[in-house]
Parts: sequence; C-alpha cells; structure tokens
Amino acid sequence: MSQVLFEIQDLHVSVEGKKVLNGVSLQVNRGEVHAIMGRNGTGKTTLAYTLMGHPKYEVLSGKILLDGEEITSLKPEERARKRFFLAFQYPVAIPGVSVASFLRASLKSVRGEEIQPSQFRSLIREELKVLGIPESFMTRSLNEGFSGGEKKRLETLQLRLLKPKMAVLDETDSGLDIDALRIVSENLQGYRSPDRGMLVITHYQRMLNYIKPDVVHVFGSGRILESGGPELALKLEEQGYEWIEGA
Amino acid sequence: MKEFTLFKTPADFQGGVKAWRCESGSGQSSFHFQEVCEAGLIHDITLHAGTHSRLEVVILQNIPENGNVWIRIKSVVEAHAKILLTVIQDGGQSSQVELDSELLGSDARIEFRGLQNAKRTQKFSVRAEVNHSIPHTSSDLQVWCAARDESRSVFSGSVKIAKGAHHSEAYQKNKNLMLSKRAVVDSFPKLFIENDNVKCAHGSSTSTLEPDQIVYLQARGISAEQAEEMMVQGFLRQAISGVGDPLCRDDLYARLGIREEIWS
Repeated sequence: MSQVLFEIQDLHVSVEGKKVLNGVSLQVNRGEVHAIMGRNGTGKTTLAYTLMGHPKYEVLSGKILLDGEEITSLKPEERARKRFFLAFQYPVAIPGVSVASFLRASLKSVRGEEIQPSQFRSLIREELKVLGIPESFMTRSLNEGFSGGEKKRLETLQLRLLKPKMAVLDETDSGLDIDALRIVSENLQGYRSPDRGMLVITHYQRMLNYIKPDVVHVFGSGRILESGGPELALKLEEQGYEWIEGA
Repeated sequence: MKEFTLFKTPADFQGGVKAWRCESGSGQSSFHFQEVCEAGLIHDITLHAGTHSRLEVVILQNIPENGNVWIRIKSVVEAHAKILLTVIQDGGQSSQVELDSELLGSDARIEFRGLQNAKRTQKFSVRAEVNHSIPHTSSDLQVWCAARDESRSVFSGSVKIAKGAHHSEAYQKNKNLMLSKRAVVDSFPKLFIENDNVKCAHGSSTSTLEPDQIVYLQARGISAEQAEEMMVQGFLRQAISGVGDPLCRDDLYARLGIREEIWS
C-alpha cells in the first residue's frame, strides 16, 4: 500500500467564470495532518468545495486522487462513499429534516448497508455524550436555529460517525467559544490515526495547539505559496502574512 | 383525537376525506358536517368554539385520483376560545377548500394550516377569509404548497379587520415550493384594515429546492434524488408539524409518505 493517501495535482478551478485556484498541488501521507492558512478571499474555501465536488466549482485542469484513485469527476456522494469528508465552514440548515433522519440516511449511504434502529441509537448516544451534545438535537431540524458552535459540533459528530479516511476541515474553529474549541479540537485530534489524513483550513494557531500539524501551507492568490513544519503557523501568528510574497 | 370519515369511497380504495377532532378547555365546542350532494362531492363543515374552549380539527382529503371535492368550512370562535384547523389536500383531480371564519369574542383566535401536496395535473385551491369583528382577537393563516409536475394551485387569503377591532393581531403566509417548471401557483394574500392600532403581517414566498442544501446532503453520501425527496418531505412535515395529537400527526406523516426517524 502506498504511503500517499491524498493528492492534489496542479488544480486550476473557476467559479461562475472567475478563475480562483491557480495550480494547487499537495500530498498528504497516511497519518499526516496538513494545515492550510491564509488571508480571507485567497481561495481556501473554494479549494474545500472543489475537493468535495460542489458542482458550482469547475475544475479547469488538474487531478484529485484518493488512495491512488482519481476522484476529480466524481459526484459529492460518490466521494463521501469513498470515505472523503468535508466539515463545512457554514453548514446549511435543512428545515423539516430531523438530525436523526439525516444521520440515519447518511450512515446507510456511506456504509452501504442498513443499520438497526437500536444499534443506530446506541451509536449516536455514545457520540453525543463524547461531544456534549444534548439528545434533544436529534429531533430538531438539521442545523436550523443552531448556534455556530452547535453546528460545528454536529459536523464533528458526523466525521466521527462516518469515519472518513481523508477529512478536510474548513474553519471548523470559527464560531466556537473556548470550551467548545477544546472539545471539538480534542475530538478531532483523537480521530487521528496512522491510516487517516486530515487537511485543516484555519486562520488561527489556536486550533493547531490541539491538532498538531505535520505540514503547514500558506495559501495566497489561489495557490500554495509556502510550506513548512508546525513552526510556520507560529511565525504567521506572530508576524502575519506580510513577509510572504503574494500572500 | 376522535376520528371521523366524512366521505365514504368504494371499498377498494382507501381514500376519502377524513377528519380528526380534539376538544379541550372548560367551554363547549362543536363540529358538524353535512354531505350536500348525494355523490359526496361537497362537504359543509361547521366549527364552533364556545367561550373558553379549544377545538382542534384536522381534515385530510385524499379522494381517488379522478375525483373532485369541495370542502366548505364555517368557523365561529367566541371569547377566550381557540380553533386550530389543519386541512390537507392530497388526492383527487380537483379540490377546493373554502374557509370563512368569524372571531366574535375578546381573545378569540384561529390558526389555520393548509397543505397542498399537488402533483400530476391536480388543481387545488384554498380561499380563506378571517373576520376580526371586535377588539383583541388574533389569527394565523398559513398555506403551504408543494407543486410538482403540471399541477396548479391557488391561494387566496383575506383577513379583514373591522372598524373598532383595535388590538387585533393577524398573520398570513403562503409558502410555495416549486418542484417542476410546468407547475403553476397563484398567490393572493390580502389584508383589509379599517382602523389603527393593529398588528398585521402578510406575505408570500415561492422558491425551488436550494442547490447548496442538496450538495450538503450529497456530501454525506446521500444521492441528489434522495436529497431532493428528503427536502420535500421536510417541507411537508413542517407544514403539519403543529398538529397537536402525536398519533394523528404520525398517521398523517405515514399517509403522505413522510419517513420520520423515531428517536426515543
């Protein structure tokens, strides 16, 4: 088995006719966590949506590979079934669809098999406890009226349930208070394993205090401008992006 | 809730117009219906909520595919009383619902929820009129429509606040979910206010399924087709989630094909 889990090769992407990504390349090995940092509007979320297969984002050229298999043209649900996961920066509300119904449908689709109601409930209850989510969430409409922190906890719960081998976390730390940040980050850190990979998109060092990245990339003008070890995130925290050309 | 079958259909079809009734409060309320035509095409329903009573009525129309039905409802609400009325139009070829409601006592309130689950070439209409005749009354009128295929739906709402009916509160909403380019909905929410010092709002929204919502569900392994179906079911579920009796509500969900994960 190759050590490379996830690879982006020279990815160029446009959104509604406007070019946003200009040749992104990176490689995540099994067990690694990579962080992407960068100013607002540099294309980080475009990268996240493109990796998930959002139809609004058009891949002009380049490739996305998961476990050696090209997934560039797959639909989002096909990527999810191959155990690719995106934790959304702004999870949308879906009125009238309960969290429980959604999670059951999602689990069934990703696992490709029915899960017994009692097994489903005990599985969910376990995860709710770990993440400090009240059980009453299960009967609420998905993300409707949820605070920023509640949405991010629910995203984390989904990640833990669906057990992806590659996860992209798009500003999962935004909208979290200090306690929620700790709970979510510790859970994400706990999700690390030698056969999984993570790409953490963030503005701040604070989340990286819990999820120690192996590689940090600086994003600017729709591409990676600089890569380094964890010390790069600390330098950005202290000095900002001024010193990086093009950031 | 007490259950009634208003319209008996041939034994080989499990459809018709069904009604459930629930009464509470210290006052008296009543519910009468009459089939005007022998064929059962017209139903006259009278609802009366006497002082300090609460009457909840749910009416489901799921007559056979080629049937036509006209449901006329008159309601009277007296002081400190409340009527909660839900009417679902699901079956038949054409179906008209007419509601005329009078709020006759202080603190009288009516809440009306209409749901049109329109498909094929069905033609559904709701005409609802609420009269606030005296001060301190309130109403909440909502009609939700999921419009598929080549269906046509009409909502005409009219809330009248008479002279002297100060401190009335009236809310009116028509929400349409367009699921086909060939479906047509017409929406006419109207307010007639003859004095100051009232709180009123009315509006109509017409939309399609939101692509970002579909993508979110897809990103969790759910196909686009299943995502759309889940969202439509969510829309229908929202419209009737206010039905007070859980057994009645679950029965309605089942009849409308709304799958709900039971969490207990």
